[in-house]
Amino acid sequence: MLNVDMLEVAHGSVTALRGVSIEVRTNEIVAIIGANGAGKSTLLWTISGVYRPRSGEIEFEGSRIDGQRPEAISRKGIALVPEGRHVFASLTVRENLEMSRAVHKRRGTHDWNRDLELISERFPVLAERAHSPAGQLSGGEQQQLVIGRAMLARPRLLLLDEPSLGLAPKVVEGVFAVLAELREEGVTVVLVEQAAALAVDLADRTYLLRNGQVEVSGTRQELLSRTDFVSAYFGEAS
Amino acid sequence: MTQHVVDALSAGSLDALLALGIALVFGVMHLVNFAHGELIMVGSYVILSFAGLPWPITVLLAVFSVAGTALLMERVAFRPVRHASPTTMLVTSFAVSILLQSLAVIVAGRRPKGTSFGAGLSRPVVIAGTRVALVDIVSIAVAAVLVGLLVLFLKRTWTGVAMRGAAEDFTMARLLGVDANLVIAAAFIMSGVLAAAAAVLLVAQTGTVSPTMGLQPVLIGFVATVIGGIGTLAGAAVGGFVLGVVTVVLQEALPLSTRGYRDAFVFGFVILVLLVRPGGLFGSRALEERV
Repeated sequence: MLNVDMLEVAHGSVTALRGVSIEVRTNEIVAIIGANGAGKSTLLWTISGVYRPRSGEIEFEGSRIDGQRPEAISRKGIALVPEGRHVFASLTVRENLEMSRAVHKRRGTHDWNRDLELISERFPVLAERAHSPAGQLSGGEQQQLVIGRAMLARPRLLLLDEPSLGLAPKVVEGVFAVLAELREEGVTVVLVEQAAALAVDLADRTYLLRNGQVEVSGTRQELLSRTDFVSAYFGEAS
Repeated sequence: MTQHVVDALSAGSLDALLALGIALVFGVMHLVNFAHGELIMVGSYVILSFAGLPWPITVLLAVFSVAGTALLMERVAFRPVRHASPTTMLVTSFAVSILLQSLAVIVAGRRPKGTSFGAGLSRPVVIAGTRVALVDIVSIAVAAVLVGLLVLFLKRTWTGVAMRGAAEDFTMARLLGVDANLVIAAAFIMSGVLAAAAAVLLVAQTGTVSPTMGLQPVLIGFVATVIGGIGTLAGAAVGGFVLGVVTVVLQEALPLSTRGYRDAFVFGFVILVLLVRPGGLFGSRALEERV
């Protein structure tokens, strides 16, 4: 579904990604883990079209998307939920959801109101607080809002950047449960996480980034068989 | 007394329109468009040229030509530098401003020209037993209607909601599929409509048109957005209104000998406001955090 090939991305003179290649197959959850500054977020922002790669290729469902504008990429069916949630704080919850309508307007195919109902069933708080400014929601509620907002664009590939950051463990469980549900429904997910244990458990495959390069990749079993990986990333937790 | 109140409200209304025109574009592009004054100038020359037609047609011509000029300005001058530094965009706006002024000098000459457009509005009407100028009442009404329509647009239409979202977090809006070009073009068109309205009111009030007539209004509009808290539309409207009212109040309240220094007092007031609230009356947190 998604093929990233030898991707190089630089912020000014600092190279953030050096020859990163990853593959995401349809209906998988792929986790990308690594320390702060390893290049995880840069990878997602580049796939989404916000950063332009210096070299390398990104292919989505058979066509090149690198170098395209973010709005064009989102219309092709890729949605990014960035770190820090990025709700439109002064807009109401309902207006935040309305922002996703851009994609529908272009495709002109979906029944918007039906989609809105489905999202409200999954995240009841979005219906309850439809007319509150999004900035007044709690962190967990905001996370539900941004995932719901991304889902309204009916993406085939959902990119999530640190969805667990700053949330209580109970709330994080809820978020991850939703991701598992989405996989059942046919959505492919790329999950960037510092909470490595949770992400690796959920994911079909995991990539570990270090200093802008893929250091290890594989299924949970494959990774856990490598003692260096386990000691570095699971430490006492395992 | 009634006349003074109407004067103040009228000046406040006009300044609010100026400030909103600047704030709309600033919201989505983070550009202080100093060529906004030249949009007013273009509108004024259109009014001058077609003053002989029935007034609704003259006004419509002004609105369409100014909105068109604004759109063209965005497409030709600002879109190519959209990703450049704010300084580059600011310098571009000065260049566009000077270019349009020079074009006006070449086409229409340097000297101010008079027009009888809106002369009928200078007659007084009697309100509550006092005579007030009709043009002031019209200014207040026009501003109220336009602000009302703008609020409706921003709250009730999808493009309006997308503009507010984009003003808050442009990248996130694009990630959700909102077309950057659409949002920015919409902001320029609306800013053009507000500039055309300001042109109609200015020409009706003063009866003169000149290539440099946009300089004073754009400065007032800019200062008003800063007082209100740059980046918020409500702040711009209130900032403009307050600035206009303060100007008129000082005009009336200052002793005759110091009245010539009115603007010094006006800007003294501006400095005072910013000393107390550096982010402006409706200051955004983003600005305060940066200080």
